[in-house]
Amino acid sequence: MNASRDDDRPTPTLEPKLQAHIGRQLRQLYDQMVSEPVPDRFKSLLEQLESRETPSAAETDASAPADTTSEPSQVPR
Amino acid sequence: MNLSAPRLKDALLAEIPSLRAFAISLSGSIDRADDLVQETLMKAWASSDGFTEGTSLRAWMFTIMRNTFYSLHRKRRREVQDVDGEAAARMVSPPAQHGHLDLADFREALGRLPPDQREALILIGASGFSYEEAAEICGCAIGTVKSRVNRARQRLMQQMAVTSADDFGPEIGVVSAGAASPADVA
Repeated sequence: MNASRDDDRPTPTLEPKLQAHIGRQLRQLYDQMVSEPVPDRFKSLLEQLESRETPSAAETDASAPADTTSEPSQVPR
Repeated sequence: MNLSAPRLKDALLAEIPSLRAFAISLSGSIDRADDLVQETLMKAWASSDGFTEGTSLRAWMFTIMRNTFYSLHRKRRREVQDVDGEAAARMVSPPAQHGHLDLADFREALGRLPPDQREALILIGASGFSYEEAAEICGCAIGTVKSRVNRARQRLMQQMAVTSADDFGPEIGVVSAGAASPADVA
């Protein structure tokens, strides 16, 4: 009874061409985004994650605040 | 977890361009998109046990990203009353090439779609996912994805028909002048 015809209502004659046009523009827009160069921050993030996983590769990295157990000397006042 | 750390790293790295594109269309700005990508990469790394080798890594990561986005989004909405649609209107970077006026129009029209419709359209029409994969990514039924895509197309067609009615008619085949597709010539 209610308007279920909304989705498959026949649209004017422009439809096939417009639809193809929309498809092309969508892909064009997306391709533009996909072809942007990957920022270095992501590469270094992944490298960090990797080196954390395999500690043999990296020596001690001071930057990682991961475990505080090793240095109990710094007590906040 | 079946992937060794170096393989996982390479696999994730390879997905970044697609992830970013989806992130931009979700969040509406490059900066927020990149934060979202970063968050997604960290989560994916931490929960790589949850990935089944042989299934689509991209779909898995899109799912993580989408969930991350919506939980952040809800949080943000509580903090700041974010004007919806404003973010959407700023969607994606400015076109790299000039001379694509109607691409700019298109981007705007896309930005005005309701988020669920835009997302479905992008997953199906641009990212190349199947309806099944898109349904899984969005956590909804396949039929729901289909009807969102249909509604998105209808809405875009209405808008394009209005905004570019004059340009259409005989010119339609010229739209992508670089690669005139024979399919257009009936």
